[in-house]
Amino acid sequence: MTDTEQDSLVVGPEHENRFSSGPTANFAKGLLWLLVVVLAAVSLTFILSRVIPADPARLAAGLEAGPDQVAQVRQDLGLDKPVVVQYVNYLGGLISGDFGDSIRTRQPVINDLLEALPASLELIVVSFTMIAGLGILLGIIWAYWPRGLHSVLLRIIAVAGSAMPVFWVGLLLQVGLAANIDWLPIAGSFNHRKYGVDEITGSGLLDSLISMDTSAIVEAIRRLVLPITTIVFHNIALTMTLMRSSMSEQLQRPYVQAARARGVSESKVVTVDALRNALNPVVTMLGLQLGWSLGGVVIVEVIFSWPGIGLYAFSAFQAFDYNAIMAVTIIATASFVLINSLVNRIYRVLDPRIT
Amino acid sequence: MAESEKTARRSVDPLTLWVLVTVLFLGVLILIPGVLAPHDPYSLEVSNRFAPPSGEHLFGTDQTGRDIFSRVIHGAKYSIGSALLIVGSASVIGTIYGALAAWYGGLADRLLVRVVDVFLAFPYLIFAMAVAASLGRGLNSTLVALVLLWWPSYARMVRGQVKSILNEYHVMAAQTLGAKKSQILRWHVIPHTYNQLLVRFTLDIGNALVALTGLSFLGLGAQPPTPEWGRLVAQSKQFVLNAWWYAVFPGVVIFVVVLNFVLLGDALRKRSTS
Amino acid sequence: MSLLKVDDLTVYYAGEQSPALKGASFELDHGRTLGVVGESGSGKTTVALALGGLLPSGAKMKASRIELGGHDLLDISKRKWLHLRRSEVAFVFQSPVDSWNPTRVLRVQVKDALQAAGRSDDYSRLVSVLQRVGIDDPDRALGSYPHQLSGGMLQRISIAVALVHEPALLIADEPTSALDSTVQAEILEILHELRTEANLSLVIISHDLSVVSRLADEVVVMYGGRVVERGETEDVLGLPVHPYTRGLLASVPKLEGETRTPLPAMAFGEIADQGCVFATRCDLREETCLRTDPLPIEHKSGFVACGPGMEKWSKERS
Repeated sequence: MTDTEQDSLVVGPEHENRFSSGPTANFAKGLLWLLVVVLAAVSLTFILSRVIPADPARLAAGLEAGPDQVAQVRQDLGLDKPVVVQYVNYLGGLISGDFGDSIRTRQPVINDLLEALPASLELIVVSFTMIAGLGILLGIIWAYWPRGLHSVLLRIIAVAGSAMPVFWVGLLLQVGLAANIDWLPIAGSFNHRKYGVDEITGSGLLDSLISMDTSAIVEAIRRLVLPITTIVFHNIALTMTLMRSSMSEQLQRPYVQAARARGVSESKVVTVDALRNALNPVVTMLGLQLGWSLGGVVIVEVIFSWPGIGLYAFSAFQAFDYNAIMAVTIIATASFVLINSLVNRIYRVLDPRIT
Repeated sequence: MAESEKTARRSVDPLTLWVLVTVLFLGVLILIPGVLAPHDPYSLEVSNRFAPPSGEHLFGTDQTGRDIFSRVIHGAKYSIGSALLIVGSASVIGTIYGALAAWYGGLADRLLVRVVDVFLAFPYLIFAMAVAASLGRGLNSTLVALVLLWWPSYARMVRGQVKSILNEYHVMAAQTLGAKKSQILRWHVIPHTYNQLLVRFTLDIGNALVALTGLSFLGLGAQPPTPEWGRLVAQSKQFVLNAWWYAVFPGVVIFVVVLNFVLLGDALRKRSTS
Repeated sequence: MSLLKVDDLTVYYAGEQSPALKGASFELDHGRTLGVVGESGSGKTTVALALGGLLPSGAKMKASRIELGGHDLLDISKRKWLHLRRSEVAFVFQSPVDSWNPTRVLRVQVKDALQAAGRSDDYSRLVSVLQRVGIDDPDRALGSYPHQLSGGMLQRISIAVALVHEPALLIADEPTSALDSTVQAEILEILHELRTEANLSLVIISHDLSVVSRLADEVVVMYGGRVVERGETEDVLGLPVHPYTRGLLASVPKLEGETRTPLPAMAFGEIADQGCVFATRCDLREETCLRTDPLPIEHKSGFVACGPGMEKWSKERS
């Protein structure tokens, strides 16, 4: 039983390395693991890319190209070489950050990615902060006062949020709050040029904050409301319910009783003693969620035409732009592994019994 | 005393009844949708496009005058059928691999842990796009992608369970009595995983339905004119201002079905832990 | 003058039909020790929690009187309870390991308790109390996490922290049950000595008769949420009257002579709503026992809640 629990809570090889010596050994192993996973992702997507039904050279050359031009493009892209050579070349490119060129935008994929990343990060950072903060807070309240109207309400939100498909929630919000009553923009992200805001970070929110232009800031926030609400509503259930069950379990532990008996005030018992232990599983789960978020924002970005990595991947998929799809897969996978090894470090700080 | 007699007389308990009704209802939806659907889901009637909900068309009609209610009913085959297929294949593959890895230990086991971890790191949406881009769009490539990413979680769960069951006394006793390995696995270990497997299976049908409809919403998965549910919502998107019912009803149906499986899974879990 | 006075204390837990504790009455003088004996489910822990305002939320507590050191404990606010736990009453619980937060260093937890009492300056005093209870290197012990120390060490720290407030009353709920027998003896010895040194009143709760007989001046025997017998320790444990107390004593294994007599087992949920709680297990059962609650009969220094038991006892004496 404990084995199952540990298995489902800790991802990556860390949990088996807990007893190995020193942070450097752990760091090296973590790095090695990152390489292994990324290599697996590269290999799998590469194999898939070679069974692609459409001829990539044909696609890259464009519809009007004659056979000679296609042959030329094939040679330029190295598609005439044996698959193994192509694979090695691709790996070689990766090391220098070269994901190849996009056949859709006709510029290096890495440039496209860097352009799209800030918009996605903006969505992820804002929604994740709200999911973590609000989810933990509501979970605590729910655990501490398990009865009453609010608990019914929280249960409804938790169940509905996880059972309503995210694309449908987004659609309903668009219809309800944007299309008919024009409260909020129906789709699209902050337009820098329209508000005369310099593009420094690429994130509409940050750039408008830097510009200190109130109307720009308001516009940037208005743009965020619907996508963020959609993401938060869909994802907060897990955090909230896990926090609740974890917290109410801790509140029943004898040490909580003992601390109360020692005269420690209720607020301190709850927010210092119980909360600290109750956070452990929640942090692990939030880490997983954050890790998956780059791959998870696709639907929301598509619904709200948000020009991030997800929308980029979607457009690439529609155009059979395989270099771009591979790149997004690799980036999303690598970010998952990185974030999770970071979370494992936090986990160790929270629980000293893990050395 | 009186209480236990009362429950004994009420021979079918609510949970069993719930499972039965769910299975029966979905069985009808998937196998003989024609019984429930009042119209042909593919027949066009352009003159009657965007008809609002009425007695004749419960969920209204779409941009070509097709009856949305009938389309939703016929779509169950694709949506729920696929979800069942995904979770079914994933659980079978995962259970076999997980049980074998836990049983043999050593290299096979360590390999399993690694493989599972690798697959867990993959973003399923983007991976499904990659698969769909190479195998071609359609329900099949999406099914392949989802099964490929879904089985490891079952393997991980079953492996953990088998490992802990192997340390229990009844298994040790069977070993001491000289039972064959395959017998022990078949009769003393696997049956003990059924409970948790059933709970997970039930919850996952809902999860798979959400994942699958999400992918078809993006244009992966089933292609038009298939009335797959995610597809229906996707198509409704551009007409959302003229025909609210088009977006609302298919979504409500997905929501209700997923909700049913979430609540059922929860009830089963409570039953198995109490 | 009595320090603790409890009259007719009844406790219901949230959502439960039958009371966890019904009509319990006892008192305790300054500097004396009261032992509370009973098996699990007898309500003895409920007594401890009720005296500290530590009953779980939703529990209902009624009494005609509860007083501790002149404070009325009936219907007082949470704040008042907190104040009492910081000054008048302190606790030591069963499992020393579980009594401390596993993820925080002991020092900060101890400081939380001292700060709560408004006595952060008492840290140096605590160090000396720790040495007194047998912690040779208090600094090192307090710098550890709970899992790094033994149960005996942790229980010593629990006792020291409980005593640093100089409470009038210490309630020890099964303080030694989770410990090895050698450590058990040491902890009991410490409690025994501190009682006289600090002029402490002690309520010691245990299922273990040897623990109670070693420390207690008076004993309360509990069964099914009721007090069935009460009196001076030598009276109750020396010449028990109530059939349950007798059974309890007879079931203690002895080294030589007669073999122990097992107590008739209790089936699940067998405690009756009506009549004597022990009736279903009792060999002196009469028909009235099943119908009417036994009235307490005054006996020596205390009382016994059993008519037939009293008769039998008198017959044996004469």
